[in-house]
Amino acid sequence: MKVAISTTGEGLESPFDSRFGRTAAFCLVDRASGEWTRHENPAQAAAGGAGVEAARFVVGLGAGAVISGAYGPHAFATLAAAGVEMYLAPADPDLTVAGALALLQEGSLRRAEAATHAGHHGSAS
Amino acid sequence: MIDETRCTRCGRCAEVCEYHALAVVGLRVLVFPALCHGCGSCLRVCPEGAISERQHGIGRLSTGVTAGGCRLSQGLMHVGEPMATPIVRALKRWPPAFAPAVPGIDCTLEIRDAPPGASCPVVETMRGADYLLLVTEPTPFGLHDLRQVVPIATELGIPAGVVINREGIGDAAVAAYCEEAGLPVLMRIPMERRFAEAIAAGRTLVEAAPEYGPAFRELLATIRATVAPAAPVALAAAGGGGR
Ligand code: SF4
Ligand code: SF4
Repeated sequence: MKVAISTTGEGLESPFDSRFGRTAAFCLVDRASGEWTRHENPAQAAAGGAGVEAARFVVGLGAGAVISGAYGPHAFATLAAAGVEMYLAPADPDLTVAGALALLQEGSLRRAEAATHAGHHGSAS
Repeated sequence: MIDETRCTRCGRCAEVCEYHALAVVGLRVLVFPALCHGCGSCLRVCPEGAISERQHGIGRLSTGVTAGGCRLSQGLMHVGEPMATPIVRALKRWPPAFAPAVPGIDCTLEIRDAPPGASCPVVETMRGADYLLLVTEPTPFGLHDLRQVVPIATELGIPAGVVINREGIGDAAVAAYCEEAGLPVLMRIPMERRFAEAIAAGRTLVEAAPEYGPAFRELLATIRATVAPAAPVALAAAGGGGR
C-alpha cells in the first residue's frame, strides 16, 4: 500500500507538514518496497476548497493511507469516501517524513475518525 | 443534486468546478454545498445531464422600522456558512426597492452599510451605488483599508468621499492620502468621550450631539450635488478600521 505524507520539503529527510490541504507537497511512499516519489500539492494556493482538491489529488495518486496533522470536514469526507485511511502525526518541527512513516510502521499513529477541525473557508469569499 | 442512476463517474464536473465543491471518488460524487458558488459550470459539462440544482438556504433576510422611523433591512448568515456575497446581493433586491424621499433635498436615499475592508461582500455592497462614503479613522489600519478600497471604487466608476472619524488619534497619513488621491474629506468627527459613551449606550451621534444634525444634512447635500441629477441615490458606506 502507498502512503501519502504531507511535507514542506523534497524527500524522506524533509520536515513533515502538519497541514493537509495547504501542505507544500506529498511524499508518496510504497510501504512494502520503501520506494518514494514527491508530488507538489496542487491545492496549496487554492482560493477555497483546498482540502477537497488535495484529497482528490491524493486519491488520484493511488494512496491507500495519508499521514498529516489535521483533516477538515471536506477533506475527511472525500478521503473517507475513497476508503483512504487517515493517520494523525504530531505537529513537531523535528519530525521528518521518514520519522512519520516509522511511527506508522510501528503502529503508534492514531487514525482520524472524524474531521479534526471545522474548516477554514471564507478566506476569499 | 446528482442523479446517481445517470452518473457515470466520469469526473468532468469535479474537474470544471473552480471551487472544489465536487469530488468524484470511487463510486460516489461528493457534493459540498457550502463551497458551491452556484456558477452552473458542472451542469453544463455533465455529459449525462445527471446534475440538477437545488436551493440551499444560507441565511435569512428581515426587515423592519427603526425607532426613528427608518426602514431597515438586514441579512443574517446561518452559522457556519462561508459566503456572505449572495446574501448581500439578495438584500439589494429585497425588499422591493423602497427608498424614502429626503425632505428639503431632491432625492430618495438608500444607504447600504458595508463591512470594513475590501472583501467580496464590500465590493458587492458598493456595486451599483451612486456614491461611496468612506468612513475611516486616522490610523495605519484606516489607511490600509482606504488604500485597498479606493482603487476598487475607481474601477467601478463610483465617486467617493471620506469621513474621518475619531480625529485626533493616530497621525496625518490618512488626510495626506486623501489629498494625494483627490478624495474630498467631507466631514471630520473628533474623538470625544461623550460620543463614544453615547454609541456604547446605543444612541446615535446626532442624539448625543444635535449640532451634527445640520452637518449631516450638508454632507448629504454635497453628495447629492456630486451624483448625476435626478438619479435616486444609493449610498454605500464602507467603514475603514473601527467605527
Ligand atoms: S460530470 Fe456528470 S456523469 Fe460525470 S461524474 Fe459528474 S455528475 Fe457524473
Ligand atoms: S455550480 Fe459551479 S461552484 Fe457549484 S458545484 Fe457546480 S461547478 Fe462547482
